[in-house]
Amino acid sequence: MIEFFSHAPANLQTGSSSNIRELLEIHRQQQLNGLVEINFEQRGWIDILFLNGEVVGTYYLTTTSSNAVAVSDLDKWWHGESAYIRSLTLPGDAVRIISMACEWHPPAQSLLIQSSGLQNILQVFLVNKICGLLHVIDSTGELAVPIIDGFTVAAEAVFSAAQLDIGPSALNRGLHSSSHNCTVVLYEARPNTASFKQLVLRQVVSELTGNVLARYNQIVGGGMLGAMGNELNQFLRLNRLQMQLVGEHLDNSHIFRSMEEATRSYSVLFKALHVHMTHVIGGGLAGTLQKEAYRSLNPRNQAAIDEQPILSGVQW
Amino acid sequence: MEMTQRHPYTKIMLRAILTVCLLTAAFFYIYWVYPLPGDWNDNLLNFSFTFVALLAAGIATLNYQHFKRGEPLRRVWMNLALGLWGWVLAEAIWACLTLFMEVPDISLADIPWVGAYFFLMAAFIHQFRVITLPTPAQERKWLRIVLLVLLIGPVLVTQLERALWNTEQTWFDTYVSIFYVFADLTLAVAAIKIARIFGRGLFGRAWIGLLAFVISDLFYSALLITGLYAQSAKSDSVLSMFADAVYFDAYLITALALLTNYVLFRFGPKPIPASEFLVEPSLKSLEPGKISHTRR
Repeated sequence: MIEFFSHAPANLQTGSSSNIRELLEIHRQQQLNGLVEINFEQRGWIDILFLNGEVVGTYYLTTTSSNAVAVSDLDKWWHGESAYIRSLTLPGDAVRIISMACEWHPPAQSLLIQSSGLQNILQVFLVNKICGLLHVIDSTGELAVPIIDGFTVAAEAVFSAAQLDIGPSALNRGLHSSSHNCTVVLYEARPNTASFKQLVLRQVVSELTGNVLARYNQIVGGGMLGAMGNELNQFLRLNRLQMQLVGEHLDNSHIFRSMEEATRSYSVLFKALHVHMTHVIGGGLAGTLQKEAYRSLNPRNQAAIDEQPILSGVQW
Repeated sequence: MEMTQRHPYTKIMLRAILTVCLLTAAFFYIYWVYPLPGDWNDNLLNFSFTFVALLAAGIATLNYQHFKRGEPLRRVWMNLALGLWGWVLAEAIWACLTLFMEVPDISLADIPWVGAYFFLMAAFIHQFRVITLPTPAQERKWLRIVLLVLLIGPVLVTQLERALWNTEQTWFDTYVSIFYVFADLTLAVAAIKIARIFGRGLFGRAWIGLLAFVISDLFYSALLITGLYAQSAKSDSVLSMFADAVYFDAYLITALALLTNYVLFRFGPKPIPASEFLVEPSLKSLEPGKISHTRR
């Protein structure tokens, strides 16, 4: 069993399914994000993932398989024996990393290497256009970062040591560890899984939003961009979406349960962006701006947007 | 601090419109009734243009201060404010000159008057640059056209006018009078173009305000060039009063338009009901009303 975020402070106990129901209730009441891991030792383990107190994924994993299960069917997989339970509170980004690992389990590769060889491995990923999740574990901490076509997605990197770090700084810390040796685990992405489709969509939406916001900032200035950010962040909070506009960027820690839910949410986000911009700079210019942002995406990313009705509410 | 109170846009604009109405009424009253002793009426009226020009320039300066160093719009508002300050200076010089002499058609005041047009033109160019991202070749082409229209156009029309009509004005005086018409027309075309790009967006309002000024100035220039203004002033007809009032109000309308931008920059746009953007309708019960703004 490969344990994620073993350095993060966790609540450890031995218990039965009744303990789990209590934990589920606590997570729900306190609207926590995090992970509850039930370890059956020989037989495998169950990961339950939470976002805003709601279960967003439950997986029964063995060394060779991964099955998504319903949390209500937990008893089917847990035969009443006592198990080790680890529960930890994590930010949405970290929960999402575990969700990817669960969906793409078992890992394609697991290597013990010298830390200095990490850059070579990344180079190999780039040449082979690997998509997946890279998990690097050493004595100082662990780095987890999604990879698309061999490129690390720095914005979604998580580095866990005494404290959890997210984003490009996390990637930097993870790749320049002082440790001598490290274990490198690669979970290769399965193109048909929701995790992979959402990872790609998230990157495209992030790029598209970034382009729109950067151009809007040029046209109206930082103050007005901030006003739009405030308004849209309230709408995101109201919709319980773990996303926020920070300057010209969209910080996205949300985990969607389905592509439909993701598409619906992104579509409402772009509609809100469009309505706000129309109010300030007029519909024609707002449309042009979004069209320009869309055109600046590479053809593959344009196709990813076209596949989902994300921009259907936007008048061009 | 989160603000949940009503957006101040309507309140501020209603007060501003009321102020404009009161100032206009006062202008008409002084112009028509002459309630003050001696030259005070004329002096007050002459300096009233400086006052309203000052209002517009002041608000434009506040808008300029909203932008940080390096922001593209800072240049737009800097040039717009400088142009309007040029007009303040021109109005002040003209009003001061009236205290001592019969001001000629072309005077010292025309230097900042003409200079202001170049700043305003620069503001338009920067605004176009920001919204249309032209290539250097496109930009050069349009600049050439504008300069040609502004510099050569008045020369040709001046020649034509002097050939067709006898005038007591010198060539230079006629040229400057015609330059104003061309400059106003160029600004009007640019303002219409920018206002059209912004459509109904709040950012277009400042340019619509400037368009109002340009149109009224065109009207005023037309009356001056045709001699109708002088004729009307001599015979105390309403035409000169109307022309002066239009000119006076043009500054106020420009100030009002600039104020809409100030309110927008200061308080953000009016909030949009969050209910329009619910991913799941069940969340409607959680909606706290309208999306509110954080006071910047």
